[in-house]
Amino acid sequence: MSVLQRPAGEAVAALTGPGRDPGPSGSRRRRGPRSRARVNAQVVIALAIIAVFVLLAVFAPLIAPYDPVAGDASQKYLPVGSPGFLLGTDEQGRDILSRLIWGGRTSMLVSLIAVVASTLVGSALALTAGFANDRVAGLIMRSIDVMFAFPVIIAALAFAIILGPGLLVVVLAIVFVATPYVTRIVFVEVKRHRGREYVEAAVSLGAGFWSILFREVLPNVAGQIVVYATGLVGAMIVFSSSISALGIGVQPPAADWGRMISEGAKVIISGNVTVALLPGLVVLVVALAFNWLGDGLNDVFDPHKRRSRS
Amino acid sequence: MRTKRWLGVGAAILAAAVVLSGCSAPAGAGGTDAAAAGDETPQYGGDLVVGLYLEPLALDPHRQGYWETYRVTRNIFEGLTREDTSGSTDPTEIQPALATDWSVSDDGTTWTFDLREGVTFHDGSPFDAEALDKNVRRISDPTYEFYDENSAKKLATWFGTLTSGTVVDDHTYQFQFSAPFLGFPRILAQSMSTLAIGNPAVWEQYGNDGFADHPDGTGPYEFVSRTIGDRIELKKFDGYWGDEPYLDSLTFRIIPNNQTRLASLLSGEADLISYVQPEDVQTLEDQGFQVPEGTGSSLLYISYNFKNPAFADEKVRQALIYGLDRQKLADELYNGYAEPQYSFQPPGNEAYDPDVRDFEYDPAKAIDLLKQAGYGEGELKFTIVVDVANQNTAEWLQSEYKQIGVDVEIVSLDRTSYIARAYGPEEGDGLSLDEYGGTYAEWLSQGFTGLAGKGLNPADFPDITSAIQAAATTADPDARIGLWKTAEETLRNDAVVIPTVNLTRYYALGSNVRGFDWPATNWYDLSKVWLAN
Repeated sequence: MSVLQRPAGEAVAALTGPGRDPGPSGSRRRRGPRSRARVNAQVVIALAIIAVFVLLAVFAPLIAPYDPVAGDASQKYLPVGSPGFLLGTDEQGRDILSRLIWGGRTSMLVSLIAVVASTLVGSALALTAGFANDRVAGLIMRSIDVMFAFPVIIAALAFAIILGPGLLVVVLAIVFVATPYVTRIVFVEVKRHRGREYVEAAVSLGAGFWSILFREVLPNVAGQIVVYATGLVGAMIVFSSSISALGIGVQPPAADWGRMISEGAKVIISGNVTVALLPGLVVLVVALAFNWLGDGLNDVFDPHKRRSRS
Repeated sequence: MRTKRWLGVGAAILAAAVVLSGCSAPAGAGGTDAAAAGDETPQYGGDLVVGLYLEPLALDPHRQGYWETYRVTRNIFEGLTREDTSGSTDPTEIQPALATDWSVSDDGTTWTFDLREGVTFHDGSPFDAEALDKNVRRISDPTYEFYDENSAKKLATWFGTLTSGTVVDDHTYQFQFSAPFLGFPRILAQSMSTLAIGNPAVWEQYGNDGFADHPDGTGPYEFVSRTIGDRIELKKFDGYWGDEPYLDSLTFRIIPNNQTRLASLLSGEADLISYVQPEDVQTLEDQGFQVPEGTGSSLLYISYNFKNPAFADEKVRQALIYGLDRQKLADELYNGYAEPQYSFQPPGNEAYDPDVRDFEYDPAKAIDLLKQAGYGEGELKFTIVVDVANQNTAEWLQSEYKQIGVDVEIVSLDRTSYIARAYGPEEGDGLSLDEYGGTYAEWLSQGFTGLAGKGLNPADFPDITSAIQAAATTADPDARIGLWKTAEETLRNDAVVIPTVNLTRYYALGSNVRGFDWPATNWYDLSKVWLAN
């Protein structure tokens, strides 16, 4: 909460030079070399995890031991460690390891594309609202409120009716869910920076509207946006699973982590816990990795640090 | 930056919650050998909690829909006849209920019923020929003030040929049909599209739409309350004319999620659940729960989209039946808790013959037929449309049909969208899955109408249409079942539908539930059920 509740009286510091701004990353900046190293280690680990899953997904045809959609139902629900099936099999007798490897393609790609899209849309809306007059800002932000209140499942069903079930429905549903959050977060940041002296200084130096927007404000809020968006990726991988479970997302028999969780959930009580647990763990690890990455990336994107390094 | 880190942890917890939900289900209510309960003395009292898998529709005898609705309403309403639900007769024997006796004229068009005396509705008003007449008029007489078009439409299947209903005296009533209708007494004992008896005083007071909020009949249990999405409560009717039921009250809880419903039984919250999943049968039995074996009277079947030109060719339709190993389907997907079906008449049906075969599994023949129809390997492509609940069957079919060179795509939809798409198919749609059936030979006619709803043009199959017509309107009681069997054979030979399997495990009960019989019907009788300590 520290970011959003920070008192407004720091503006003086901004005038005295960017390096002194105890802004969003002020507390981290005061960390010694050791904590900086810890942050870097976190980013490296996160990147490594993400890289592993991305590589697995990219080279799935070469790596996966079996066809992810072909199974022999007479071999269903084999436990973890069964000969030939390291992580066991699912209801249709398909190799769970192969499906996890292939599943990253839809799960990660869909969530990434959708989060990038909602980040672009949300940021554009927020920047516009932040610098527009009250009427336009009100219109944008109240529309966002409506989106917040609108039941997303109904929206997703509507997309499915219009477009037919499939990946596009999942992407649109995620955009629908994520955009209001991104917009509100970025809007608050933009509003905060808009009143800052460095912006006023730019204005008095004759900078144009776009210049202020893209050269002054955007670099200052970009870190926030990236951090928030990377955090969203993990949450949206989970969200996409509920959309697919409704039958309006990724269509069977395609491998998809969310779908694997929902398919596996039906045999948890009868004891085949790993069918849902394994894709659940994968989602958990990937979601955490994206969050660590976002956290670490904040330093990279932080304009104060970037300038102080140069 | 703590905010962001917590966001990440939140996402992770969310992911974990998805996985772990259900894991915390209590580990079973303990197991005693319930089967060894045959010689116990039945006990009165107690509340039976039933976990339904979907929300029942209106509690109105004439607007009946869904078997889960009937499993509730049959405790409130009764018909003139009923089926023997003890499980000892298959097909079920027809017994007297609100009528004590009935007879039909020689030409098969006039049915006369002697009504039971001394029967009252739950509000104390008497059931007599006058009350029955108001029920008949509600569904057939547009001049009646409380004529219900909604009900009339539903009952038109069987009452469309009703020309008049006549009160002969206080306890005698006559139905006059325009064509012979020998199946009538059995139809009267069914759930949907038939004439269970409601209290006319209620619709006269609350109107036709208001009836379902104040359901009142002559059954062993009377209505107490209903909370949509949660539960329906009934209590024993003290003035019941028949044998006193054992249980004081019945609570029907609506628990659509399969795992939650299972958990409610395991934890002892529910005593009886429907729609047990094949994966859970073993778990339940291991923990001492009862999972009775039976067939019900329904079947899972696959319909063709006749609007897709590929299925105009009989060879293609036959190939898809030859290419399907139903025994393997029953064994692999349903863990053996299903029986393969080769006839469109379901088990429990009067005209059902377990020995008939349609186009038994022969993949080589299937490939050959497809070749004759002009489809080489991978050339026949279509979409199979399913309800999410049947998605696993669709996936199984997909890999099965791959082996005869047919390329199937799956569209898996929520229930409502599925119905819309199955009855309004898109180009390229090929197959869809349904489950239906009944204990009366006339069901074949209903089933065929259902296929017509999915694009089959009855005019393209005049032999089936005329065979069904002949069976439905025969005046010869000795010929009736034979004619229905002929109609089934005609339909079977034309390969207009793919019967698949019938589930043999469907209900599960707590170890202390006694007296539960699973007859060859799609419902059960709770008036004989009791709870042991």
